[in-house]
Amino acid sequence: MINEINAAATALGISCPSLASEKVGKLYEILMIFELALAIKGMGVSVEPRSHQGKPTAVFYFRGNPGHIPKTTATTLEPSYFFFVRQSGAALELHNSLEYRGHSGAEHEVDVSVVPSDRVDKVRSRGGGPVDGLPYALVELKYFTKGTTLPKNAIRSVFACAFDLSPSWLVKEVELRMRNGTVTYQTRNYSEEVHLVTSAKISQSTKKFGDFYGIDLHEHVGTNGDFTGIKAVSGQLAFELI
Amino acid sequence: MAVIDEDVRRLINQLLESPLSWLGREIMTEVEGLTRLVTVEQLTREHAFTQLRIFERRALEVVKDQRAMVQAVASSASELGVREVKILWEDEGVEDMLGEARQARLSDFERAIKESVSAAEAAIAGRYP
Repeated sequence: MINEINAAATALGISCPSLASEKVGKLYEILMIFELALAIKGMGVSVEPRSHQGKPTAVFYFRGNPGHIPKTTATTLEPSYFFFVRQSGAALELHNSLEYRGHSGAEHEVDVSVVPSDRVDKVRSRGGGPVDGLPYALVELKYFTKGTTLPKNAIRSVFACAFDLSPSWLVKEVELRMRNGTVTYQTRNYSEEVHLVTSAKISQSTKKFGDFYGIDLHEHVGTNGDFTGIKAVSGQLAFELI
Repeated sequence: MAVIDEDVRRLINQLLESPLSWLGREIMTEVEGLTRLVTVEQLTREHAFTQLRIFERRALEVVKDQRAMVQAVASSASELGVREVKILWEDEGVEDMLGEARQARLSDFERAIKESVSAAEAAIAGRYP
């Protein structure tokens, strides 16, 4: 009986992923954004916190709920973002809980995303709304209490979201067999990075899925006051983005 | 088929009606999960205590994680030239992430977890002397 109860208690960890999860999940998201901004700055790139009006700010507002790019003329409190310029000269923005619109017309919240500024500016110029397509970096975050295994649905939803935002993301290259040889087309935009970061353990089955479709998985990240994992993921992402 | 013990259900319902209703829901999830494996007769006070202790440990881990994250965010924000960090909630308005009020809320949360679990333990002990 004791063994059964112990086994049940362990199994129940899956049905009890987190407590007051919305709040702690948001903290996890905010921590990831700041660490990523710091990692980019650590590579010698100037990173500027900006208000929704595009002005430097020392008061940073995060989206508590999924949301759009606001109007720059809005006089209400609106979310901030980080702005930086990559080595190629392209300007990028780092946002939290921003909604992107897929080919289906459905909108998808991305916990942490990095997107070219010119794409966001187009949205601003039409008075705000969701950003179309896949961002340069899409990071899905899942905070769970210690000892939990990430439910497989998490990676399925990331996969479906990335596919709807950019179906070509799924296909690495296309090979055309001609009469006298083959021609290979790169279809995947290698600026499109998809990551799933979690404090939970990731099962072998989920890892297989991620490996096959090119979703970078990061497990056991950021619990018990140990944020070395978050710094490592941020460093990797910053390297890819710069 | 196992059915949850009515006395235990009643005690949990008390929690569900309290301001800490999420606490009751989590315990209910755990206890109902257990009943899939054990019978009504076997779901005794010890089993309920076991679940409460598991719950308490997890809840306190979450508070500990939150404290550590807030400290880490404060440190990173400072390095990035950010003085204040706020969250815009649709229903709850603006939440100050780094202010004293948040630290106080975490302490309240921690105290409420301990008090609720103690109260639930006492209630169960009363029902199953």
